[in-house]
Amino acid sequence: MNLNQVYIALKNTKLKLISLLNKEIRKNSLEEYVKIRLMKDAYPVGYERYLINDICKKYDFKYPSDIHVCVFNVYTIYSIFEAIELGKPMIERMVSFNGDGIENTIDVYLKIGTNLKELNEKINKFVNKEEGMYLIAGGPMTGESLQADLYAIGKTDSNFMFLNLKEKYQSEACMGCGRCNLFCPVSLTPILILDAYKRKDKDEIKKLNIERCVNCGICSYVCPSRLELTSTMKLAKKQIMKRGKYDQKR
Amino acid sequence: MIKKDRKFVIGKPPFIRRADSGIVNTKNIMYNFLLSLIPIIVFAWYINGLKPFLNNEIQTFKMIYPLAFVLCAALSSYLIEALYYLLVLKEEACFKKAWDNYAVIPGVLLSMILPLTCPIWVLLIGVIFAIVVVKMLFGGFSYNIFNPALLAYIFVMLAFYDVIMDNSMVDIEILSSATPLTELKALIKKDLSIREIVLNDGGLVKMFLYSQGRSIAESSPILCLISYLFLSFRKAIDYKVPLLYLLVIFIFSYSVAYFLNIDSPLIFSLFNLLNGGVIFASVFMITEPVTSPRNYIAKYIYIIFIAVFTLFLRFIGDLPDGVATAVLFMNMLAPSLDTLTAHLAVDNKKYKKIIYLIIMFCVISLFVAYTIMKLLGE
Repeated sequence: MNLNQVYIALKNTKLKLISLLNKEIRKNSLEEYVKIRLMKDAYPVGYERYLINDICKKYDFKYPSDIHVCVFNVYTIYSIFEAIELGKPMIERMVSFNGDGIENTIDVYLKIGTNLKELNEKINKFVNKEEGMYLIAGGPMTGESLQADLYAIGKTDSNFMFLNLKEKYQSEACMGCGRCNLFCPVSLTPILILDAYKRKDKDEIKKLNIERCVNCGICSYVCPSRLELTSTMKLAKKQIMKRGKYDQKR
Repeated sequence: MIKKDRKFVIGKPPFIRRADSGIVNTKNIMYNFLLSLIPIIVFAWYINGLKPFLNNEIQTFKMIYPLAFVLCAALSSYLIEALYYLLVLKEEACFKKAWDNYAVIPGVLLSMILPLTCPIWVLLIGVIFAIVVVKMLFGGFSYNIFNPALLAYIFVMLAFYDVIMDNSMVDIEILSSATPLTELKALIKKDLSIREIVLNDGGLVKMFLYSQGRSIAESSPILCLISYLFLSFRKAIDYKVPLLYLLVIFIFSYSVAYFLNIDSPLIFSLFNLLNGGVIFASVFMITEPVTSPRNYIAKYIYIIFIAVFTLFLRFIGDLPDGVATAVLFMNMLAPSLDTLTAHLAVDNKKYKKIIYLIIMFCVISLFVAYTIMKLLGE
């Protein structure tokens, strides 16, 4: 299999990294095959679909392999390099601990399978506030919250966050401001999908083009009434995949 | 087994929200909205009550009437909604629920657009209609289709017109000037000149600053513009919406005046902008988020058509209140506009949006052309 082009997508504020990479590319004389593309420093720029839209200028595809494109994370490429060149399986990785619920926000190089609770007790201390704390596997916009820290760190976990809750709030009714549509990176209308989901209207959900959703979480982030739009989009996607049955057991 | 000593809270992503810190959440938006209405109410009370009182023209009771009007409407709308929650929906925490669903807003807005000669019992009937029929029967706060203040205003004007116009609660000498808009038809038939009408009213600058009109909403365009700046600075409304509405009204009335050879098209357009509560409606009624569409493309279509219908009803129909009817008509069409553009708005192809712009432009010019033809033919 031959590769035509390799693109490295970087944010345009990381100047030192850009110059380092340029030097390496020139040293190995790979300028025809490896090119650097600079992306703006805004939130959902790192998504697979958005990167292909912006760099390769292709919009009409269902999966990237349809147009012969593969998108990889930096850590995946590094692990592939370790496996092929050094013959080393993935037994350790870098994990970062963030948030205002712990004292030291550090990056740790640890073995896969480490117990999260024992690790935290050895290297960190909790900063507790009254309302409670979230333990999030992943980032603050797209991660999942865990119920307890009896967790073995797997090979895809790169980040853990301990966030203190500000206050307990309730969702209000939709105000109809339209911010979810204004800020959505793929121009969907999440509030109409929420209404169609509540009515169990599968045809309407399909017509509203829900397969373009990238699960970035911006719609819930900007909503003034604190509606749970992002999790509803995930549930609505599941609903139209299932044929006939509508089963949502809690 | 999960031990109880280290239990974390479960939530749904995203775990940071813009509404948690700062001014962009529903409560603060509605409170800013109410706050920006206060200068207009105080100024209208000064013009219609305090100033004539200090000149010894009217008595104390008539001085307090404008303020009492607004406060009575606010209090009664809150109580009526709480009573509805208690008696019909059998909800025990009725007062808290009525406050959380912003029950005060339709009452205050209704009292600001009704004429000040209206007696209190007519106002109460209007508030009951606005809260119970237009807001609660449709489902409550975010489910109403029509703007409660506007629909109750039309209901009250249709049912109690003679009682409102003929009342002596407020002294008729102060509010006796017929609204300049009723002279619009005579103007178009060239019996009068627009410059004379504006000069009779005190000049263009005075029309911009204040007018001792019939209702609180029409009393001062410049205070409405100051409220617009305040609200868009605090991100409670979208700043593009009133600008687009006023621009389309300006262009429509300018082209009508130009083709009908009225002596000054610029003064004619400004005249249409500053009268009839257009600026008040553009800042407080059209930007109302619940009754307008959710999609951004649908919002722009909504605004343009309200502007076209306002002037259409003013020039061809006999209504001085084109704004209220036009807004209510587009409120009715808002949900369908939403679903139509939601299916179409997802494409990345830019040429489709350009085609829609061209279609909109053609439709608007059709309306303008029809208006001009009909007025020329009379």
